[in-house]
Amino acid sequence: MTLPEYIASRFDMLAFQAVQHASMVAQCLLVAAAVGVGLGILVHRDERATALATGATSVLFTIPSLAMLGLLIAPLGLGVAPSVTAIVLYALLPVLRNTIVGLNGVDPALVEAARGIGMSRSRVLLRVQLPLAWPVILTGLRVAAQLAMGIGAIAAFVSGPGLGDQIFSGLARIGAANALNATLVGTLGIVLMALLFDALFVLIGKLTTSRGIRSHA
Amino acid sequence: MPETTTAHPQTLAALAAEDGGTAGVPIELIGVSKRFGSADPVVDDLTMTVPAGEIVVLLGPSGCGKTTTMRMINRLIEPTSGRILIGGLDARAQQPDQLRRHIGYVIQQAGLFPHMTVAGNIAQVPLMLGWDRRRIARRVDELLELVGLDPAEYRDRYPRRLSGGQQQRVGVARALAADPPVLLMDEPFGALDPITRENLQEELLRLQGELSKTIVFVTHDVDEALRLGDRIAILGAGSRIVQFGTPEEILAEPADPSVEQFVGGGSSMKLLKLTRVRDVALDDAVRARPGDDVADLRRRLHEAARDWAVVLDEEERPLRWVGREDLAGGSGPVGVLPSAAGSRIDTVISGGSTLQEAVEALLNADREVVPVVGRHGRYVGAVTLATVRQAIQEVRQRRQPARHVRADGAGTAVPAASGGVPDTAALAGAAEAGAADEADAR
Repeated sequence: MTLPEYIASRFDMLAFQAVQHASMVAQCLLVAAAVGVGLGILVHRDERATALATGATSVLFTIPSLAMLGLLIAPLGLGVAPSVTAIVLYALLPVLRNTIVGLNGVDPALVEAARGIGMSRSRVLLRVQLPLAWPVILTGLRVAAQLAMGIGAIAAFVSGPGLGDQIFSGLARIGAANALNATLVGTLGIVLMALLFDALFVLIGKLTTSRGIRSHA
Repeated sequence: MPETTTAHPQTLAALAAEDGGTAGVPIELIGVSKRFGSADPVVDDLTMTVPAGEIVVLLGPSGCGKTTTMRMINRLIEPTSGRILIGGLDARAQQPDQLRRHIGYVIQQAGLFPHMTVAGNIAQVPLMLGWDRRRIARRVDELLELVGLDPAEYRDRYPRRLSGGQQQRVGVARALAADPPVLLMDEPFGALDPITRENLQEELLRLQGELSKTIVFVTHDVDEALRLGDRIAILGAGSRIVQFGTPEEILAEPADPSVEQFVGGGSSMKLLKLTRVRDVALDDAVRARPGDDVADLRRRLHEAARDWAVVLDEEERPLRWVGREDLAGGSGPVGVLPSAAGSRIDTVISGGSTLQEAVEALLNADREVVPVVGRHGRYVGAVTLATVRQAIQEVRQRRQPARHVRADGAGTAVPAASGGVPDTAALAGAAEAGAADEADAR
């Protein structure tokens, strides 16, 4: 069976797995964005808190993903729970780090000007700091999305949802009929989705970044 | 607004709303100190009053605490001790964010928000005050006009597409958005090139002429201070006031050698810049008409003991100079003298010119005299080097007693009966008399 034949023969299942994969990644990103940006806002003004937060997430980052998934089986069992947990944890680092870098990169004179004309702290954050840090935060989210795609594939190791299943089952039966096809479909599918996500982020960036600070306006 | 008839406004916001916010209110700093940690105080027991509607410049070397002093007024920095009254209201009794919305704030390089358009930047304070869209849009255009930017062209631009000078104009517009009675300006023109800086200084003076805000202006540029300040506070370490007075007072009578050194050795040159031609006693040349008889003019010059006369046309506009040598041996009307073309007047100055400009004109003219013209180019008098010298000396002498009087005024806490006042007055009188004698001797 050729690759196109393989895809045609089980299109429904592959499509389902692809959608599952994308939706898992998207949901994990939302959680990582909320937690990462929120944490970044909380810690960015305090050097020690910043060091602690980035240090902790960096340590998480050094744990091999396979090991992390394995370790999560004990408390969370198999399936969606350990997969989602692992993806969120990995996606957290780029989001958190870029939020901190972005917020600290805002010219202090602008923050002072904002305070000086009578903006409250939260208003300065919403009206000045976050909009100005947004391109950097968005870049963090993009990196996190690529990461989540990859980790999502490995999540099949703990019976997680998504295209990883094709890769793992293919690799397990290598040499058998359709083993290569399965591995290829899983891999190419994930690459394709990663590209789509990236394109989506470029679009979001275009739509949500002020013309005044866009690099190519 | 249900509380329109309450007796006295409790906040600057209410005060600003009450009289449209337009005119300035006085700012009083009373024994204000600021200490960061346990180090020496940055501002040490500072007491000063910024009169309503005046530009007061805080001038001093970097690190003397002038910016800290300014920031305590809008509570970006909280004083460690002391009181600050704005329009008679204690700044500490008001919510800081509310307070700041009614104190314009301009910083170096404008501090415009790069992700907002010009209109968006200016609209920030009105938005916080809850104005409706139409009112904000109207106000934005009005302010752009005020600072000399065409609303249609600049309204929707982003700051990065503006020059430094234009950005600072928008910065000033943003500060004025809610028509605050008070404006704080922290080295606003420091980062601009000299020409743009002078333009904006000129512009600020024009605006102030229209608006009469109370402006506290921080700078370390002596020339800027002399140019803009109604009063200048020269600050030393710990924001100690070394001298507080008008530019003329500071130039003519520096409080101590450090001030003299700080405002520069060229004090006379600076006085020249500050004094307008209309404020000095002008020389008057012998006037002549083209139709006057040469012999008659010669006689008049002799009587007035002058060497030259100015020839005026029917509209009283100066045409040219004639000297005794031009008249010698001639006859008939002045207008047909053969040497007439030689001393044509092409440089005139007006009453609004500074003495510096007058001196420049004198140096460039081929005579040692430059005519001064009034409305419609009419001759009103002349300036010579002697006029200038005389004027500078007069400014110096006038300021001496004036400063004593002012110093007494500032120290009203001392009872008049202390005996100090008569002494000082006597001293001032003596100085005045002495000065008069000196002038007579010349």
